[in-house]
Amino acid sequence: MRWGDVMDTALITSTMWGGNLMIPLYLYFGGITAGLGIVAVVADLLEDRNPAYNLLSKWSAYLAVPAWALGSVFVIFHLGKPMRGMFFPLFFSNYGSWMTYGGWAMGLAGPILIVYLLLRHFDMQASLRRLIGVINIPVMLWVALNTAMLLSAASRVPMWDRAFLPALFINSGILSGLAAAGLVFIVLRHFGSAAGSGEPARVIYAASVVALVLEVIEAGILYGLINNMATGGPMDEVAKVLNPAGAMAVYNEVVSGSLAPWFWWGVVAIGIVVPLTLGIVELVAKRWEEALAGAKFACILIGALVLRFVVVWGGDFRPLPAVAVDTLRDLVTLFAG
Amino acid sequence: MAANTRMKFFVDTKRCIECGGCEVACKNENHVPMGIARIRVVTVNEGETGETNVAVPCMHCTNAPCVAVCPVDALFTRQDGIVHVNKETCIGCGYCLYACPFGAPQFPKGEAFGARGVMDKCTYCAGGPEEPQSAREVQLYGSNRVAEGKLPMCASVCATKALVAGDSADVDNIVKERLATRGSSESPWGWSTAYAQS
Repeated sequence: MRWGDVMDTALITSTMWGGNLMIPLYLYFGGITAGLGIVAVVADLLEDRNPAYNLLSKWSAYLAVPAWALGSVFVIFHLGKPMRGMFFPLFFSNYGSWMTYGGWAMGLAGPILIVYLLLRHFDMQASLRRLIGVINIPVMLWVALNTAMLLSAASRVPMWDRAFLPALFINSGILSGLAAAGLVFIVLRHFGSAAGSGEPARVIYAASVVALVLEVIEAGILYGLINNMATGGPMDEVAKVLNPAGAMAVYNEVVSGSLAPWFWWGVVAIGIVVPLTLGIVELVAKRWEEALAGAKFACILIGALVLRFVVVWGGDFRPLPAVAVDTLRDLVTLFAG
Repeated sequence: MAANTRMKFFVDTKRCIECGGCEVACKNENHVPMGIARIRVVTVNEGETGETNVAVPCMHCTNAPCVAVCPVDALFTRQDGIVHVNKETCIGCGYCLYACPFGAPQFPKGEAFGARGVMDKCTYCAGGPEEPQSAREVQLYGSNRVAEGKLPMCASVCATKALVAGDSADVDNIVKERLATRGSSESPWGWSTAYAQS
């Protein structure tokens, strides 16, 4: 006999992180930081082929540091005791917790990004700079991965499914970093004094192709996450035994309940459908490339922000594993060991 | 206390009548601040056939997920299985709330500038890591009935004995006895007596 067989699912609702803007904003800026850090290095490596990549690389590096700083501020000040978060090496002693790894990820990323930014700004030590940049890529991936694993470690939250969320946030982080860099590149070329050299059109074209590929991947991962919830999939062993209907109840909240407008308009329409359409039109029509790419990148940035909010808000819905008499044997096995 | 003692709660959903006695007793015993519910009664299928009530305290899990995710080791499991929070080291990140399948961790509401304080939860009426029954322990965690050899107040006052507390072996025996007495019927306990078909 299982909980879901005898009665409807009870969802615990809370407004712990979802009601607080800081966690979604940390996840957003953490992801953008990772994306910008990677774009800066890749553009740096491509600069010899096309000098126009210099502008993209430099502005990615310029933007990565404030994005990192904002992410750090948001994650530290969501704490009840921010000072202890700031001095995390002294206080974060549980190395089984993803929050500890998150502290180290953000703590390491900042100094590396700043050193890279200085070398990039003054165009110094190209070999050393690129070496630091390449070393920074796994750190950036770690930052993006951690924004997902921080959530996915709470394995009883269906929206934070470990099978999909890490891939979704890594992909979205790189995509939004690329979008931020691409948007600034286009704006500077038009309105700034930095006309740049080389072939900027090829930079925009390359960024658009990569963005299109990442958009398709993101759509696939998002479908996987939502579909898995719809079929009750993303539950660990405890949750499967106690409340198989829980994931489906959360799915209903996301696609047709209180989160539906944010999910359909913000994440799916603005974040995926519009950028994909603009990207395809841009590549097929071969006209108004910069305008289309700029609009696409702006939509990607908005969609990525709404995605973080929907994921965190969705985490506020959790199925309650009831301690029913019928499930005692399962409970003893699973909890008591 | 035996070395293998493991203190547990068990909630008999067939007996809970949603009187709220456990919630009141907990608040009174531990001077629980406003906005914090160390135990709460959740109602499922309210107003419908099969309405069920579940009192939900911290279940003091053996492999507690909250302990696993706490970055500062503020949560820990005592030798007798009770999961404690050290309010002196908690940083109020809220991670434990999401890890907990029961939503047991609580956080103060209405703090200045929306700031979140440190976590508060059911202590199994066993105080905290401070000196037992010291003024500091009472101030931070409430009473320490376990140190006096008593059971948690919520279970002590439960009129229908829906909330059972004690060593896991004893709790297990009580549940087995109840199951043997009432069989596998899905009706609430006492239902057949109160609404017997004539």
